[in-house]
Amino acid sequence: MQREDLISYLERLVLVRFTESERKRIMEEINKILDFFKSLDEIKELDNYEPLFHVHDIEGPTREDEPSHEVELQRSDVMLNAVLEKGYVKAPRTIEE
Amino acid sequence: MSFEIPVKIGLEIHVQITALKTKLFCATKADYRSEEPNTLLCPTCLGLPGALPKVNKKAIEYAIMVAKALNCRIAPKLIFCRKHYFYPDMVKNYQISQYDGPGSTPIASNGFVRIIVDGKPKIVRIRRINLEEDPGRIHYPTGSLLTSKYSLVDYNRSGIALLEIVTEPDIESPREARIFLEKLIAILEYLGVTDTRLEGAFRVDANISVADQARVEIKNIGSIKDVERALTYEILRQKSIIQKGGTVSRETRHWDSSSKVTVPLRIKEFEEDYRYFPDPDLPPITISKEWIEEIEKRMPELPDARIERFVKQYGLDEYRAQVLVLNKWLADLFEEAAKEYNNYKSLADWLITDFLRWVKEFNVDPSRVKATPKHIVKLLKLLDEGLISVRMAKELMPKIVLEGVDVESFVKQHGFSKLSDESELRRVVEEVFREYPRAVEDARRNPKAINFLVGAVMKKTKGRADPQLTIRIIRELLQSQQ
Ligand SMILES: [Zn+2]
Repeated sequence: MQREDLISYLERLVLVRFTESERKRIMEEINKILDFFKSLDEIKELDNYEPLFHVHDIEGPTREDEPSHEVELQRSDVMLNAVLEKGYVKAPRTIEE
Repeated sequence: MSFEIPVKIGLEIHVQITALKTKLFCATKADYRSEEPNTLLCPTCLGLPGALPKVNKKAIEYAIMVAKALNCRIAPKLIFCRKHYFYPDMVKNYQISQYDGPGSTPIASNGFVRIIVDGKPKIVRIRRINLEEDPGRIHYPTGSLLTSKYSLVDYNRSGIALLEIVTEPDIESPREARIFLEKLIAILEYLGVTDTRLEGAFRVDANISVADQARVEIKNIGSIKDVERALTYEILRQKSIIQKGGTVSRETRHWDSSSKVTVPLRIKEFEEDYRYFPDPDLPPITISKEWIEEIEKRMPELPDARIERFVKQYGLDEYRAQVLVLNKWLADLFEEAAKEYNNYKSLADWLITDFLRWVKEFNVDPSRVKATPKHIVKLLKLLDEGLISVRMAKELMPKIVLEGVDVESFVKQHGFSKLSDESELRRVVEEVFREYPRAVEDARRNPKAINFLVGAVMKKTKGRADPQLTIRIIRELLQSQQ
Protein backbone atom coordinates (compact mmCIF):
# COMPACT_ATOMS: atom_id res chain seq x y z
CA MET A 1 0.00 0.00 0.00
CA GLN A 2 1.30 3.48 -0.91
CA ARG A 3 1.83 5.63 2.14
CA GLU A 4 -0.57 8.31 0.84
CA ASP A 5 -3.27 5.64 0.48
CA LEU A 6 -2.48 4.42 3.95
CA ILE A 7 -3.52 7.76 5.42
CA SER A 8 -6.93 7.68 3.74
CA TYR A 9 -7.30 4.04 4.75
CA LEU A 10 -6.63 4.93 8.37
CA GLU A 11 -9.02 7.88 8.15
CA ARG A 12 -11.73 5.51 7.05
CA LEU A 13 -10.93 2.93 9.71
CA VAL A 14 -11.06 5.31 12.64
CA LEU A 15 -13.85 7.46 11.19
CA VAL A 16 -12.01 10.80 11.13
CA ARG A 17 -11.26 13.29 8.37
CA PHE A 18 -7.95 15.19 8.30
CA THR A 19 -7.40 18.67 6.90
CA GLU A 20 -4.55 19.09 4.40
CA SER A 21 -2.17 20.41 7.06
CA GLU A 22 -3.11 17.59 9.42
CA ARG A 23 -2.51 15.10 6.65
CA LYS A 24 0.99 16.45 6.17
CA ARG A 25 1.81 16.32 9.86
CA ILE A 26 0.38 12.80 10.27
CA MET A 27 2.21 11.62 7.17
CA GLU A 28 5.50 12.69 8.72
CA GLU A 29 4.71 10.92 12.00
CA ILE A 30 3.52 7.77 10.32
CA ASN A 31 6.69 7.71 8.23
CA LYS A 32 8.81 7.88 11.35
CA ILE A 33 6.85 5.06 12.97
CA LEU A 34 7.00 2.85 9.92
CA ASP A 35 10.72 3.41 9.48
CA PHE A 36 11.28 2.54 13.11
CA PHE A 37 9.32 -0.68 12.72
CA LYS A 38 11.32 -1.54 9.63
CA SER A 39 14.15 -2.55 11.91
CA LEU A 40 12.04 -5.65 12.69
CA ASP A 41 12.70 -6.84 9.16
CA GLU A 42 16.36 -7.30 10.07
CA ILE A 43 15.62 -10.00 12.63
CA LYS A 44 16.43 -13.42 11.21
CA GLU A 45 14.81 -16.76 12.05
CA LEU A 46 11.77 -15.32 13.75
CA ASP A 47 10.49 -18.83 14.45
CA ASN A 48 13.08 -19.17 17.17
CA TYR A 49 11.37 -16.55 19.29
CA GLU A 50 8.30 -16.99 21.45
CA PRO A 51 5.74 -14.34 20.53
CA LEU A 52 5.20 -11.71 23.21
CA PHE A 53 1.54 -11.37 24.10
CA HIS A 54 1.91 -9.11 27.04
CA VAL A 55 4.63 -6.71 28.16
CA HIS A 56 4.62 -8.14 31.68
CA ASP A 57 5.39 -11.79 32.02
CA ILE A 58 2.52 -12.44 34.42
CA GLU A 59 -0.24 -15.01 34.55
CA GLY A 60 -3.71 -13.60 33.85
CA PRO A 61 -5.93 -13.68 36.94
CA THR A 62 -9.30 -15.44 36.89
CA ARG A 63 -12.34 -15.17 39.12
CA GLU A 64 -15.06 -17.52 40.34
CA ASP A 65 -18.47 -17.43 38.66
CA GLU A 66 -20.22 -15.59 41.50
CA PRO A 67 -22.36 -12.51 40.89
CA SER A 68 -21.48 -9.39 42.82
CA HIS A 69 -24.09 -6.73 43.31
CA GLU A 70 -21.43 -4.19 44.09
CA VAL A 71 -20.46 -4.02 40.46
CA GLU A 72 -23.89 -2.93 39.31
CA LEU A 73 -24.10 0.76 38.71
CA GLN A 74 -26.93 3.08 39.38
CA ARG A 75 -28.76 2.98 36.11
CA SER A 76 -29.26 6.71 36.09
CA ASP A 77 -25.50 7.32 36.35
CA VAL A 78 -24.70 5.01 33.50
CA MET A 79 -27.35 6.41 31.25
CA LEU A 80 -26.61 10.09 31.87
CA ASN A 81 -25.02 10.55 28.49
CA ALA A 82 -27.44 8.41 26.52
CA VAL A 83 -30.66 9.22 24.74
CA LEU A 84 -33.17 6.76 26.16
CA GLU A 85 -36.39 5.36 24.82
CA LYS A 86 -38.27 2.94 27.09
CA GLY A 87 -35.02 2.13 28.87
CA TYR A 88 -33.18 1.39 25.64
CA VAL A 89 -30.30 3.47 24.34
CA LYS A 90 -31.24 5.20 21.13
CA ALA A 91 -28.71 4.75 18.32
CA PRO A 92 -28.56 5.56 14.62
CA ARG A 93 -29.70 3.21 11.91
CA THR A 94 -27.14 0.53 11.26
CA ILE A 95 -27.15 -0.14 7.54
CA GLU A 96 -26.61 1.85 4.38
CA GLU A 97 -28.96 1.80 1.44
CA MET B 1 -32.85 -30.36 -9.59
CA SER B 2 -29.40 -31.29 -10.70
CA PHE B 3 -27.17 -32.85 -8.08
CA GLU B 4 -23.92 -32.51 -10.02
CA ILE B 5 -23.48 -28.88 -9.03
CA PRO B 6 -21.25 -28.99 -5.97
CA VAL B 7 -22.39 -27.09 -2.88
CA LYS B 8 -19.97 -26.16 -0.11
CA ILE B 9 -21.27 -24.91 3.20
CA GLY B 10 -19.36 -23.75 6.24
CA LEU B 11 -21.08 -22.70 9.45
CA GLU B 12 -20.18 -20.20 12.13
CA ILE B 13 -22.18 -20.93 15.25
CA HIS B 14 -22.48 -18.54 18.17
CA VAL B 15 -23.48 -20.21 21.40
CA GLN B 16 -23.98 -18.39 24.67
CA ILE B 17 -22.67 -20.24 27.71
CA THR B 18 -26.01 -19.93 29.48
CA ALA B 19 -24.88 -22.17 32.34
CA LEU B 20 -22.86 -19.28 33.80
CA LYS B 21 -24.13 -17.03 36.56
CA THR B 22 -22.00 -14.05 35.56
CA LYS B 23 -20.67 -12.42 32.42
CA LEU B 24 -17.32 -13.34 30.85
CA PHE B 25 -15.18 -10.48 32.16
CA CYS B 26 -17.14 -9.07 35.13
CA ALA B 27 -19.23 -10.23 38.07
CA THR B 28 -22.44 -8.78 36.60
CA LYS B 29 -25.38 -11.20 36.59
CA ALA B 30 -25.67 -13.05 33.29
CA ASP B 31 -29.33 -14.06 33.27
CA TYR B 32 -30.63 -11.06 31.33
CA ARG B 33 -33.70 -12.48 29.64
CA SER B 34 -36.32 -11.44 32.15
CA GLU B 35 -34.71 -8.14 33.09
CA GLU B 36 -35.56 -4.56 32.15
CA PRO B 37 -33.21 -3.21 29.45
CA ASN B 38 -29.89 -1.71 30.55
CA THR B 39 -30.12 -2.83 34.17
CA LEU B 40 -27.36 -5.48 34.27
CA LEU B 41 -24.38 -3.25 33.75
CA CYS B 42 -21.08 -2.37 35.33
CA PRO B 43 -18.09 -0.26 34.31
CA THR B 44 -16.39 -3.30 32.75
CA CYS B 45 -19.19 -4.52 30.53
CA LEU B 46 -19.83 -0.92 29.52
CA GLY B 47 -16.16 -0.43 28.71
CA LEU B 48 -15.79 2.65 30.89
CA PRO B 49 -12.26 4.05 31.15
CA GLY B 50 -10.25 2.49 33.96
CA ALA B 51 -12.41 -0.61 34.31
CA LEU B 52 -10.47 -3.86 34.13
CA PRO B 53 -11.79 -7.16 32.79
CA LYS B 54 -11.17 -10.33 34.82
CA VAL B 55 -11.89 -13.70 33.25
CA ASN B 56 -14.62 -16.02 34.56
CA LYS B 57 -12.79 -19.30 35.29
CA LYS B 58 -15.93 -21.40 34.72
CA ALA B 59 -16.26 -19.92 31.22
CA ILE B 60 -12.77 -21.18 30.35
CA GLU B 61 -13.64 -24.60 31.74
CA TYR B 62 -16.83 -24.83 29.69
CA ALA B 63 -14.89 -23.77 26.59
CA ILE B 64 -12.33 -26.51 27.27
CA MET B 65 -15.15 -29.07 27.71
CA VAL B 66 -16.67 -28.10 24.38
CA ALA B 67 -13.24 -28.21 22.74
CA LYS B 68 -12.66 -31.72 24.09
CA ALA B 69 -16.12 -32.90 23.07
CA LEU B 70 -15.50 -31.60 19.53
CA ASN B 71 -12.14 -33.40 19.42
CA CYS B 72 -10.15 -30.17 19.18
CA ARG B 73 -6.55 -29.35 19.96
CA ILE B 74 -6.47 -26.99 22.92
CA ALA B 75 -4.07 -24.04 22.97
CA PRO B 76 -1.51 -24.02 25.80
CA LYS B 77 -2.31 -20.38 26.50
CA LEU B 78 -5.59 -18.47 26.47
CA ILE B 79 -4.99 -15.21 24.63
CA PHE B 80 -7.63 -12.53 24.22
CA CYS B 81 -7.48 -9.99 21.40
CA ARG B 82 -9.35 -6.81 20.69
CA LYS B 83 -11.45 -6.84 17.55
CA HIS B 84 -12.24 -3.28 16.56
CA TYR B 85 -15.36 -2.08 14.85
CA PHE B 86 -17.82 0.74 15.18
CA TYR B 87 -21.34 -0.42 15.73
CA PRO B 88 -23.92 0.63 18.33
CA ASP B 89 -24.04 -2.84 19.93
CA MET B 90 -20.44 -2.44 21.11
CA VAL B 91 -19.77 0.32 23.64
CA LYS B 92 -15.98 0.00 23.75
CA ASN B 93 -15.68 0.04 19.94
CA TYR B 94 -13.91 -3.27 20.27
CA GLN B 95 -15.03 -6.73 21.18
CA ILE B 96 -12.80 -8.86 23.39
CA SER B 97 -12.41 -11.95 21.26
CA GLN B 98 -9.70 -14.27 20.03
CA TYR B 99 -7.67 -14.15 16.87
CA ASP B 100 -6.61 -16.96 14.62
CA GLY B 101 -3.63 -15.39 12.88
CA PRO B 102 0.00 -14.35 13.19
CA GLY B 103 1.05 -14.15 16.83
CA SER B 104 -2.24 -15.32 18.27
CA THR B 105 -4.38 -18.40 18.57
CA PRO B 106 -7.95 -19.34 19.51
CA ILE B 107 -8.62 -21.52 22.55
CA ALA B 108 -9.18 -24.58 20.36
CA SER B 109 -8.72 -25.69 16.77
CA ASN B 110 -8.60 -28.69 14.41
CA GLY B 111 -11.52 -30.70 15.73
CA PHE B 112 -14.30 -32.72 14.15
CA VAL B 113 -17.86 -33.90 14.65
CA ARG B 114 -19.16 -37.26 13.45
CA ILE B 115 -22.54 -37.29 11.78
CA ILE B 116 -24.58 -39.91 9.96
CA VAL B 117 -26.14 -38.94 6.62
CA ASP B 118 -28.40 -41.49 4.93
CA GLY B 119 -26.88 -44.24 7.02
CA LYS B 120 -23.33 -43.27 6.08
CA PRO B 121 -20.85 -41.80 8.55
CA LYS B 122 -19.34 -38.43 7.73
CA ILE B 123 -16.87 -36.08 9.39
CA VAL B 124 -17.42 -32.34 9.61
CA ARG B 125 -14.17 -30.65 10.57
CA ILE B 126 -14.12 -27.88 13.18
CA ARG B 127 -11.68 -25.14 12.20
CA ARG B 128 -11.64 -23.32 15.53
CA ILE B 129 -13.48 -22.30 18.68
CA ASN B 130 -13.25 -18.77 20.07
CA LEU B 131 -14.18 -17.64 23.54
CA GLU B 132 -15.49 -14.07 23.31
CA GLU B 133 -17.98 -11.59 24.70
CA ASP B 134 -21.45 -11.08 23.27
CA PRO B 135 -22.28 -7.56 22.10
CA GLY B 136 -25.40 -5.70 23.20
CA ARG B 137 -28.75 -6.48 21.68
CA ILE B 138 -30.21 -4.18 19.04
CA HIS B 139 -33.96 -3.70 18.59
CA TYR B 140 -35.55 -2.09 15.59
CA PRO B 141 -38.53 -0.11 16.86
CA THR B 142 -39.87 1.02 13.50
CA GLY B 143 -39.64 -2.12 11.41
CA SER B 144 -36.75 -4.50 10.80
CA LEU B 145 -33.00 -4.14 10.45
CA LEU B 146 -33.63 -3.11 6.86
CA THR B 147 -36.41 -0.59 7.34
CA SER B 148 -36.00 0.85 10.80
CA LYS B 149 -35.16 4.56 11.00
CA TYR B 150 -33.09 4.13 14.14
CA SER B 151 -32.13 1.41 16.57
CA LEU B 152 -32.53 0.80 20.29
CA VAL B 153 -29.82 -0.95 22.24
CA ASP B 154 -29.97 -3.06 25.38
CA TYR B 155 -26.48 -3.59 26.82
CA ASN B 156 -27.57 -6.26 29.31
CA ARG B 157 -26.31 -8.86 26.83
CA SER B 158 -23.01 -7.08 26.43
CA GLY B 159 -20.23 -9.19 27.95
CA ILE B 160 -22.12 -12.49 28.10
CA ALA B 161 -19.75 -15.41 27.46
CA LEU B 162 -20.02 -16.65 23.91
CA LEU B 163 -18.43 -19.52 22.03
CA GLU B 164 -17.88 -19.08 18.32
CA ILE B 165 -17.60 -22.47 16.67
CA VAL B 166 -16.42 -22.42 13.05
CA THR B 167 -16.55 -25.42 10.72
CA GLU B 168 -14.59 -26.11 7.57
CA PRO B 169 -16.74 -25.97 4.40
CA ASP B 170 -17.40 -29.71 4.62
CA ILE B 171 -21.19 -29.59 4.55
CA GLU B 172 -22.78 -30.39 1.21
CA SER B 173 -26.51 -29.76 1.59
CA PRO B 174 -29.01 -27.89 3.76
CA ARG B 175 -30.12 -31.21 5.24
CA GLU B 176 -26.55 -32.10 6.17
CA ALA B 177 -26.29 -28.70 7.87
CA ARG B 178 -29.37 -29.58 9.92
CA ILE B 179 -28.01 -33.03 10.86
CA PHE B 180 -24.69 -31.45 11.90
CA LEU B 181 -26.37 -28.76 14.00
CA GLU B 182 -28.66 -31.28 15.71
CA LYS B 183 -25.59 -33.27 16.70
CA LEU B 184 -23.71 -30.17 17.86
CA ILE B 185 -26.65 -28.97 19.94
CA ALA B 186 -27.01 -32.41 21.49
CA ILE B 187 -23.34 -32.38 22.49
CA LEU B 188 -23.69 -28.91 24.04
CA GLU B 189 -26.82 -30.02 25.87
CA TYR B 190 -25.13 -33.13 27.27
CA LEU B 191 -22.28 -30.96 28.51
CA GLY B 192 -24.80 -28.65 30.16
CA VAL B 193 -23.07 -25.66 28.60
CA THR B 194 -26.06 -24.00 27.06
CA ASP B 195 -29.81 -24.12 26.80
CA THR B 196 -30.18 -23.51 23.08
CA ARG B 197 -33.95 -23.10 23.41
CA LEU B 198 -33.43 -19.72 25.06
CA GLU B 199 -33.99 -16.84 22.66
CA GLY B 200 -30.70 -15.69 21.14
CA ALA B 201 -28.61 -18.39 22.83
CA PHE B 202 -27.89 -20.01 19.48
CA ARG B 203 -27.17 -18.01 16.31
CA VAL B 204 -25.73 -19.14 13.02
CA ASP B 205 -23.95 -17.46 10.13
CA ALA B 206 -23.54 -19.62 7.04
CA ASN B 207 -21.03 -19.45 4.20
CA ILE B 208 -22.14 -21.04 0.99
CA SER B 209 -20.67 -21.42 -2.47
CA VAL B 210 -22.36 -23.17 -5.36
CA ALA B 211 -20.41 -24.57 -8.32
CA ASP B 212 -17.15 -23.17 -6.90
CA GLN B 213 -18.38 -19.64 -7.45
CA ALA B 214 -17.98 -16.77 -5.00
CA ARG B 215 -18.73 -17.38 -1.35
CA VAL B 216 -21.85 -15.76 0.03
CA GLU B 217 -22.28 -15.21 3.74
CA ILE B 218 -25.75 -15.37 5.30
CA LYS B 219 -25.99 -13.67 8.66
CA ASN B 220 -28.41 -13.81 11.53
CA ILE B 221 -30.08 -17.22 11.41
CA GLY B 222 -31.74 -18.10 14.70
CA SER B 223 -32.81 -21.73 14.47
CA ILE B 224 -31.90 -25.02 12.84
CA LYS B 225 -35.07 -24.94 10.76
CA ASP B 226 -34.18 -21.48 9.48
CA VAL B 227 -30.62 -22.58 8.65
CA GLU B 228 -32.08 -25.27 6.42
CA ARG B 229 -34.54 -22.82 4.86
CA ALA B 230 -31.99 -20.04 4.32
CA LEU B 231 -29.49 -22.42 2.70
CA THR B 232 -32.15 -23.95 0.47
CA TYR B 233 -33.24 -20.48 -0.64
CA GLU B 234 -29.66 -19.41 -1.25
CA ILE B 235 -28.79 -22.50 -3.32
CA LEU B 236 -31.83 -21.92 -5.53
CA ARG B 237 -30.97 -18.23 -5.91
CA GLN B 238 -27.34 -18.93 -6.81
CA LYS B 239 -28.21 -21.80 -9.15
CA SER B 240 -30.66 -19.68 -11.07
CA ILE B 241 -27.99 -16.98 -11.50
CA ILE B 242 -25.55 -19.59 -12.79
CA GLN B 243 -28.12 -21.19 -15.09
CA LYS B 244 -28.81 -17.81 -16.67
CA GLY B 245 -25.08 -17.52 -17.39
CA GLY B 246 -24.39 -15.02 -14.63
CA THR B 247 -21.81 -15.10 -11.89
CA VAL B 248 -22.50 -15.06 -8.17
CA SER B 249 -20.92 -12.06 -6.48
CA ARG B 250 -19.21 -12.26 -3.13
CA GLU B 251 -21.45 -10.58 -0.59
CA THR B 252 -23.04 -10.69 2.81
CA ARG B 253 -26.75 -11.34 2.95
CA HIS B 254 -29.22 -11.14 5.77
CA TRP B 255 -31.77 -13.87 6.52
CA ASP B 256 -35.18 -12.32 6.90
CA SER B 257 -37.02 -14.91 8.97
CA SER B 258 -40.45 -13.36 8.43
CA SER B 259 -40.39 -13.27 4.62
CA LYS B 260 -38.11 -16.34 4.38
CA VAL B 261 -35.66 -14.85 1.92
CA THR B 262 -32.06 -13.64 2.04
CA VAL B 263 -31.44 -10.00 1.17
CA PRO B 264 -28.18 -8.23 0.39
CA LEU B 265 -26.81 -6.26 3.25
CA ARG B 266 -24.17 -3.64 3.64
CA ILE B 267 -23.42 -2.78 7.21
CA LYS B 268 -21.67 0.49 7.92
CA GLU B 269 -17.95 0.11 8.65
CA PHE B 270 -18.35 -3.56 9.17
CA GLU B 271 -16.28 -5.46 6.71
CA GLU B 272 -13.13 -3.48 7.43
CA ASP B 273 -9.85 -4.32 8.96
CA TYR B 274 -10.59 -5.28 12.55
CA ARG B 275 -7.11 -4.24 13.71
CA TYR B 276 -6.71 -7.21 16.03
CA PHE B 277 -4.11 -7.01 18.76
CA PRO B 278 -3.63 -8.79 22.10
CA ASP B 279 -5.68 -7.09 24.79
CA PRO B 280 -3.19 -5.40 27.12
CA ASP B 281 -5.76 -5.63 29.95
CA LEU B 282 -5.74 -9.42 29.80
CA PRO B 283 -2.44 -11.22 30.31
CA PRO B 284 -2.40 -14.76 28.86
CA ILE B 285 -3.75 -17.58 31.02
CA THR B 286 -1.95 -20.92 31.03
CA ILE B 287 -4.08 -23.93 30.17
CA SER B 288 -2.10 -26.76 31.75
CA LYS B 289 -2.43 -30.45 30.91
CA GLU B 290 -3.42 -31.09 34.53
CA TRP B 291 -6.27 -28.58 34.30
CA ILE B 292 -7.55 -30.16 31.08
CA GLU B 293 -7.38 -33.65 32.62
CA GLU B 294 -9.21 -32.50 35.72
CA ILE B 295 -11.97 -30.98 33.53
CA GLU B 296 -12.18 -34.14 31.40
CA LYS B 297 -12.87 -36.16 34.54
CA ARG B 298 -15.92 -34.03 35.22
CA MET B 299 -17.32 -34.43 31.70
CA PRO B 300 -20.53 -36.44 31.36
CA GLU B 301 -21.14 -39.25 28.87
CA LEU B 302 -21.38 -37.70 25.39
CA PRO B 303 -23.79 -38.60 22.56
CA ASP B 304 -21.37 -40.79 20.56
CA ALA B 305 -20.50 -42.87 23.61
CA ARG B 306 -24.15 -43.14 24.62
CA ILE B 307 -25.22 -44.25 21.14
CA GLU B 308 -22.56 -46.95 21.27
CA ARG B 309 -23.75 -48.03 24.72
CA PHE B 310 -27.42 -48.12 23.61
CA VAL B 311 -26.45 -50.44 20.76
CA LYS B 312 -24.54 -52.77 23.12
CA GLN B 313 -26.67 -52.61 26.24
CA TYR B 314 -30.16 -52.60 24.71
CA GLY B 315 -29.46 -54.28 21.38
CA LEU B 316 -30.85 -51.33 19.43
CA ASP B 317 -29.72 -50.60 15.90
CA GLU B 318 -27.66 -47.47 15.36
CA TYR B 319 -30.52 -45.50 13.82
CA ARG B 320 -32.87 -45.97 16.78
CA ALA B 321 -30.06 -45.40 19.25
CA GLN B 322 -29.20 -42.15 17.54
CA VAL B 323 -32.76 -40.76 17.41
CA LEU B 324 -33.12 -41.44 21.13
CA VAL B 325 -29.72 -40.12 22.18
CA LEU B 326 -29.88 -36.91 20.15
CA ASN B 327 -33.06 -36.06 22.07
CA LYS B 328 -31.47 -36.26 25.50
CA TRP B 329 -34.73 -36.07 27.47
CA LEU B 330 -36.15 -38.92 25.36
CA ALA B 331 -33.04 -41.05 25.90
CA ASP B 332 -33.31 -40.39 29.65
CA LEU B 333 -36.97 -41.41 29.57
CA PHE B 334 -36.06 -44.54 27.61
CA GLU B 335 -33.44 -45.59 30.14
CA GLU B 336 -35.78 -45.05 33.08
CA ALA B 337 -38.54 -47.08 31.40
CA ALA B 338 -36.06 -49.78 30.35
CA LYS B 339 -35.49 -50.56 34.03
CA GLU B 340 -39.01 -51.93 34.23
CA TYR B 341 -39.66 -53.09 30.70
CA ASN B 342 -37.28 -55.28 28.77
CA ASN B 343 -38.68 -55.36 25.25
CA TYR B 344 -36.26 -52.54 24.43
CA LYS B 345 -36.90 -52.49 20.71
CA SER B 346 -40.64 -52.13 21.16
CA LEU B 347 -40.08 -49.43 23.80
CA ALA B 348 -37.73 -47.54 21.47
CA ASP B 349 -40.20 -47.80 18.59
CA TRP B 350 -43.11 -46.45 20.60
CA LEU B 351 -41.02 -43.58 21.89
CA ILE B 352 -39.50 -42.68 18.52
CA THR B 353 -42.65 -42.94 16.47
CA ASP B 354 -45.86 -42.23 18.41
CA PHE B 355 -44.51 -40.52 21.49
CA LEU B 356 -42.05 -38.19 19.76
CA ARG B 357 -44.61 -37.50 17.05
CA TRP B 358 -47.15 -36.17 19.54
CA VAL B 359 -44.57 -34.13 21.39
CA LYS B 360 -43.68 -32.48 18.09
CA GLU B 361 -47.29 -32.24 16.91
CA PHE B 362 -48.37 -30.40 20.05
CA ASN B 363 -45.08 -28.52 20.13
CA VAL B 364 -44.65 -29.46 23.78
CA ASP B 365 -41.49 -28.31 25.46
CA PRO B 366 -39.76 -31.60 26.41
CA SER B 367 -39.36 -30.34 29.98
CA ARG B 368 -43.16 -29.97 30.16
CA VAL B 369 -44.02 -33.44 28.91
CA LYS B 370 -46.34 -34.90 31.54
CA ALA B 371 -45.64 -38.52 30.74
CA THR B 372 -43.36 -40.37 33.10
CA PRO B 373 -41.48 -43.58 32.29
CA LYS B 374 -44.10 -45.42 34.41
CA HIS B 375 -46.92 -44.24 32.14
CA ILE B 376 -45.17 -45.62 29.09
CA VAL B 377 -44.34 -48.92 30.76
CA LYS B 378 -47.96 -49.39 31.91
CA LEU B 379 -49.23 -48.74 28.40
CA LEU B 380 -46.85 -51.23 26.83
CA LYS B 381 -47.63 -53.87 29.47
CA LEU B 382 -51.39 -53.54 28.90
CA LEU B 383 -50.67 -53.92 25.22
CA ASP B 384 -48.49 -57.00 25.74
CA GLU B 385 -51.14 -58.59 27.95
CA GLY B 386 -53.70 -58.12 25.17
CA LEU B 387 -55.89 -55.89 27.32
CA ILE B 388 -55.75 -53.05 24.82
CA SER B 389 -55.20 -53.06 21.06
CA VAL B 390 -52.43 -51.33 19.14
CA ARG B 391 -54.97 -48.85 17.89
CA MET B 392 -56.07 -48.04 21.42
CA ALA B 393 -52.49 -47.61 22.52
CA LYS B 394 -52.01 -45.15 19.68
CA GLU B 395 -55.13 -43.28 20.74
CA LEU B 396 -54.01 -43.14 24.35
CA MET B 397 -50.57 -41.81 23.50
CA PRO B 398 -51.52 -38.11 23.07
CA LYS B 399 -53.42 -38.24 26.40
CA ILE B 400 -50.29 -39.59 28.06
CA VAL B 401 -48.04 -36.99 26.47
CA LEU B 402 -50.26 -34.00 27.12
CA GLU B 403 -52.07 -34.84 30.35
CA GLY B 404 -49.90 -37.52 31.89
CA VAL B 405 -52.99 -39.73 32.03
CA ASP B 406 -52.59 -42.92 34.04
CA VAL B 407 -53.41 -45.59 31.49
CA GLU B 408 -54.57 -48.25 33.92
CA SER B 409 -57.20 -46.18 35.69
CA PHE B 410 -58.22 -44.47 32.45
CA VAL B 411 -58.91 -47.81 30.81
CA LYS B 412 -60.93 -48.95 33.83
CA GLN B 413 -62.90 -45.73 34.02
CA HIS B 414 -63.77 -45.35 30.37
CA GLY B 415 -64.24 -48.98 29.47
CA PHE B 416 -61.46 -48.38 27.04
CA SER B 417 -60.32 -51.98 27.19
CA LYS B 418 -60.18 -54.31 24.27
CA LEU B 419 -63.42 -56.08 23.38
CA SER B 420 -62.43 -59.72 23.57
CA ASP B 421 -65.59 -61.18 24.98
CA GLU B 422 -66.59 -63.64 22.26
CA SER B 423 -70.35 -63.55 22.65
CA GLU B 424 -70.45 -59.77 22.75
CA LEU B 425 -68.23 -59.51 19.70
CA ARG B 426 -70.32 -62.11 17.88
CA ARG B 427 -73.42 -59.93 18.40
CA VAL B 428 -71.62 -56.97 16.79
CA VAL B 429 -70.46 -59.09 13.84
CA GLU B 430 -74.00 -60.35 13.26
CA GLU B 431 -75.24 -56.78 13.28
CA VAL B 432 -72.64 -55.84 10.65
CA PHE B 433 -73.66 -58.86 8.56
CA ARG B 434 -77.29 -57.65 8.59
CA GLU B 435 -76.32 -54.10 7.66
CA TYR B 436 -74.00 -54.98 4.78
CA PRO B 437 -75.42 -58.04 2.97
CA ARG B 438 -73.62 -57.14 -0.23
CA ALA B 439 -70.26 -56.99 1.52
CA VAL B 440 -71.00 -60.39 3.02
CA GLU B 441 -71.62 -61.78 -0.47
CA ASP B 442 -68.37 -60.24 -1.67
CA ALA B 443 -66.46 -61.73 1.23
CA ARG B 444 -67.81 -65.20 0.42
CA ARG B 445 -66.50 -64.97 -3.14
CA ASN B 446 -63.30 -63.09 -2.41
CA PRO B 447 -61.49 -63.75 0.90
CA LYS B 448 -59.72 -60.38 0.65
CA ALA B 449 -63.02 -58.52 0.83
CA ILE B 450 -63.28 -59.57 4.46
CA ASN B 451 -61.35 -56.41 5.37
CA PHE B 452 -64.43 -54.28 4.79
CA LEU B 453 -66.37 -56.26 7.38
CA VAL B 454 -63.49 -56.11 9.88
CA GLY B 455 -63.38 -52.34 9.36
CA ALA B 456 -67.13 -52.05 9.97
CA VAL B 457 -66.80 -53.98 13.24
CA MET B 458 -63.93 -51.76 14.33
CA LYS B 459 -66.00 -48.68 13.57
CA LYS B 460 -68.95 -49.93 15.56
CA THR B 461 -66.75 -50.77 18.54
CA LYS B 462 -64.68 -47.60 18.25
CA GLY B 463 -61.58 -49.68 17.67
CA ARG B 464 -62.01 -51.79 20.76
CA ALA B 465 -62.59 -55.09 18.98
CA ASP B 466 -59.76 -57.59 19.17
CA PRO B 467 -58.77 -57.87 15.48
CA GLN B 468 -57.73 -61.55 15.54
CA LEU B 469 -60.93 -62.62 17.28
CA THR B 470 -63.04 -60.46 14.94
CA ILE B 471 -61.53 -62.13 11.87
CA ARG B 472 -62.08 -65.59 13.33
CA ILE B 473 -65.76 -64.89 14.13
CA ILE B 474 -66.38 -63.36 10.68
CA ARG B 475 -64.85 -66.41 8.98
CA GLU B 476 -66.92 -68.79 11.09
CA LEU B 477 -70.12 -66.91 10.33
CA LEU B 478 -69.34 -66.75 6.61
CA GLN B 479 -68.93 -70.53 6.55
CA SER B 480 -71.91 -71.40 8.75
CA GLN B 481 -74.27 -69.20 6.74
CA GLN B 482 -73.28 -70.77 3.41
ZN1 LIG C 1 -20.39 -5.99 34.02
